[in-house]
Amino acid sequence: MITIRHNLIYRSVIHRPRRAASLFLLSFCFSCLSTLLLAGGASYIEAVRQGTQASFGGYTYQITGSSDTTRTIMEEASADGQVVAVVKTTGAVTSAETGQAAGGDTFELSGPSRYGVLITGQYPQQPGEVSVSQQVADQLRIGVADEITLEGEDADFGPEPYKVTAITMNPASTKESSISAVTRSDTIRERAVSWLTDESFSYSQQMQQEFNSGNARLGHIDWSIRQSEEEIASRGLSGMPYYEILITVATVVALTGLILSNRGVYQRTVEGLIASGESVRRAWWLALAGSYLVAFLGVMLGLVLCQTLLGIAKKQVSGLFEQSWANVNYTGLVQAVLLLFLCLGIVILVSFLFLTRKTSHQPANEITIRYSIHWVLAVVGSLTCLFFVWTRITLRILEGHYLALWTGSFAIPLLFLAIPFLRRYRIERRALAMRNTNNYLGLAGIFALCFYAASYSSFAMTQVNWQRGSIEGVSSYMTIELLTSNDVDYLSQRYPDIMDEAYILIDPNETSSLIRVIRADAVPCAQEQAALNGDFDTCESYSMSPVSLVSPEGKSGELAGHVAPDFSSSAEKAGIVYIEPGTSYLNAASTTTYGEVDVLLESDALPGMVLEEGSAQAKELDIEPSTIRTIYVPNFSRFSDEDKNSFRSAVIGRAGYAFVTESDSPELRQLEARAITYSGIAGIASVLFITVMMVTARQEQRILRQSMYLAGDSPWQRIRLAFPIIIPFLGTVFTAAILGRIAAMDHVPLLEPDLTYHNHGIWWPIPLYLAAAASVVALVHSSRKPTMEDAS
Amino acid sequence: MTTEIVLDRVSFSYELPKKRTTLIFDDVTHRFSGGTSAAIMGPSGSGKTTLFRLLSQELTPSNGTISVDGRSLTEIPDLELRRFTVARIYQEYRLIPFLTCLENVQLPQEIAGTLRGNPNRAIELLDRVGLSKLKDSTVDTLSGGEQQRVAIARALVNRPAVLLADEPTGALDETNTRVVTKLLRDVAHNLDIAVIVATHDQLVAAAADQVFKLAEHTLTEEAA
Repeated sequence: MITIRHNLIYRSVIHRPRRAASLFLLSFCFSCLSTLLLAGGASYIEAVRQGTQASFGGYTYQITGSSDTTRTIMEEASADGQVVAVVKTTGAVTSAETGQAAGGDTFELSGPSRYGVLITGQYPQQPGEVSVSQQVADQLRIGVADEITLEGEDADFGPEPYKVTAITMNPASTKESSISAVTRSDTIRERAVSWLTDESFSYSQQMQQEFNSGNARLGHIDWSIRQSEEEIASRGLSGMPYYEILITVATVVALTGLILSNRGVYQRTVEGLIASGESVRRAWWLALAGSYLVAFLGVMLGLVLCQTLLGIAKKQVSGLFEQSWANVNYTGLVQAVLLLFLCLGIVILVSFLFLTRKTSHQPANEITIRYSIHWVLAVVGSLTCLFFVWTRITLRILEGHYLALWTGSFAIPLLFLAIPFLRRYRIERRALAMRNTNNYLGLAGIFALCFYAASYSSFAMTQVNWQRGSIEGVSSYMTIELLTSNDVDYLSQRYPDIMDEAYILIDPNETSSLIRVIRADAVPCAQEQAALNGDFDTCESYSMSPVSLVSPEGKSGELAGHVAPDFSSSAEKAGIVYIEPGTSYLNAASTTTYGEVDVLLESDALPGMVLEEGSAQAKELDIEPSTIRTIYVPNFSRFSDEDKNSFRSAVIGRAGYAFVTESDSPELRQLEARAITYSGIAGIASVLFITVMMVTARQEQRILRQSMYLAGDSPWQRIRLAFPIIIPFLGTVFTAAILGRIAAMDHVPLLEPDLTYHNHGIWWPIPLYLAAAASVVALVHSSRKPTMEDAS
Repeated sequence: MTTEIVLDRVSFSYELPKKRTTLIFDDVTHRFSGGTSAAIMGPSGSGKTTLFRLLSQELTPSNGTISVDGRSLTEIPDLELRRFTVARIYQEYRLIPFLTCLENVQLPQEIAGTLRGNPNRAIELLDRVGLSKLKDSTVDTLSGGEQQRVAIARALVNRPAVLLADEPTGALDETNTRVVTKLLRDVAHNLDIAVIVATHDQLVAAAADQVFKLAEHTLTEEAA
């Protein structure tokens, strides 16, 4: 039954239609954005997970290795049906009927294939059967039961043609062209360097030795999936959690502000309800219920609409990312629901507590200390803050920026609140007195937030920009460690453009000794320690770096004989030490010559010294090559995103055991996202603070403003009433952000020259922009005429 | 039985910072009866609003008791007091702007749960205050005098024992002041309610059955 109170809730909404529409739209948009980000993001990651599983071959383990022992064990196991040999290559497929041809990744297998997610038909089981991806099927206009011929660079498929038994798809990349065939060739076990199996071979001592020595590598489907998830979560959807936090905080603030700005209407409704005999708390709930319901409706509608959109149009939505989503991921939906209701809860709680708080009828909150003492504290505190900033940038006190944060929080707001200009006229004095204590405490918090955000953002972006190679002379790079020579061959065939630019380093065989380069002047001490107790740490110069080998041909050959500047000497000699694996005892040390000092080898991603494989020098130093390779691709960022993503996927799919490092790493992206988020949150908190202060001040100044208006005031005089709030606020935010930014520098600005060029990024001033914009709005609002009907 | 509101040796003072106090009432004893209207006059700050806040239990006397029909106000729960015992009207009306006149008057009935038992009460009261034709108009479309009459109807809808009117004509012109004053006196006489009006307006005071002056921390009856 509709009661008057239901009517009251309904009419309170339609009474102010524009306000209600704003509230609805804001909550609706927030809900849509959050649902699409969280539910869509989770579906995206799920597709990547399925795609990795499909690319891994449908088996649990992938063993890669080309040593004789590994090959013998695998061939035996293959004959027993325990493993399936795989030859991965790029190849071509031609339709026997139409003559159309297409290229793609080709997998030649000795046994049943499970590559890709099945769309139609059955996975190839018998020799002569093949599955093709949807992309290939569409290109060749073929289907199940059609016949095709196959070609591959390293493949030998034996008697043709092959019969298509399945059309498959990679959910993470629907445009992928791939062919997977159970070969008719008898030679596959001899050619194969990879094997798929559900056995870990933990029972085989021989295989364990192969794994331990690095002759064979064991990849697990779960490792690959985890690696892909991490890769996508931090690269494809990089920083998403931080941006989601930023959107959430901004929306919560905006929704709360929109509700609070309707305070006058709520107040009148509550008074009417109390005069009708309603309890105070219930009266407030009834007055606010309309707004809360509108926000709730907006959130629910956004949630349902976007979820339905994702459900109905999942093919089209996933198609935008060249993916195929089997089902919308419900984990993301649950996360979205929880987040939205949490936000609504915060909006309701904050607005309710703020509106129903007991207003004090006591005289104004004034700082009661004497004005002269106020000044002394402010000046001394501010100078101390500057001193701590100086100690930080000159590295005299490493934690100086934290000390500056605390002293600045105490002193800087005090300094701006003491400005004589704000006390010159009675109007400002009165307005300042009304808000002084609350203003001071709030400003102290705002200073701390803005200072921390600016210094963090500057520190973080300096690091990010440095590592990304935005500094002149330093390039972006990608390194892949623990590859096998076969992996390198595969990547070289498939990605010639990238691999032509890469340095391919051969790791030395370190089964008996770890080989490291040291400075030549540290060799005598090292030799002495090797003869004594093997403790190299006691030597004065003990920094060391790995040594690698390179083939004399190609680009990698350019590095042969090079040494990092750290290990160079005037005599063009460097030291080599041999360390016992496991114990780290120094076994021996010797001196060798080098050809050239190379700044490229300064990078942590590269060894300290490079020697030519098989050279007399390498033999003399007893450095033998192993089967493990490291690839270093300089200027990796110059390749297209498509090429880079494809290369990364190939590395993960082909060699899940490899260790990939990039200058544009997920960690750096997260760091940048944090830099943006911290600055954003500081900015939003500043806007929220000034909004609350201005709303409260306007309420407190209501009678004053009405009196001034009746006395014929000007807009400028009304604006002046906002100065005691705005000027200390702007002063505090600007000082905090600029000091925070300076604290992140490594030299005293203006006094010392720029020794190093640091790019502090563009995010640290976010609080400045937001605070300035909010202040302009507040000043314009302050210039408006007061509403006289509120007088009572 | 006629309603009686008794102030028995009531004292009250506001506490100020630094342990200072401002005395408002000092040992006041008085009796207001149902069926009569009383006007309280006095200069600003003499305690008219404080008296109303004491009578509606918003403030508690420092000494003495206030009782309605023999029940001390402190014994009456707050909601019962506001719904059924002491009703108030204000200078600024305090109506809900987007509800109709009828809804504003029926709202206290709905809140108190008396609407089903007496659904026509609100219409009767609107008729009594001369606004039955405007019952479906939202109150923000009415004049000040009309809004105050709606507020009177709302105050009476749950048959309170006492009606406190704080400057009810402060925002009205003379014509509307006469209408509202007559209405308050009629309410007192016909509905057996004790109507207490705080006012500066001689016109209102002249229409009251009794006139009291608040001065020197006490309540003194003036000759009518």
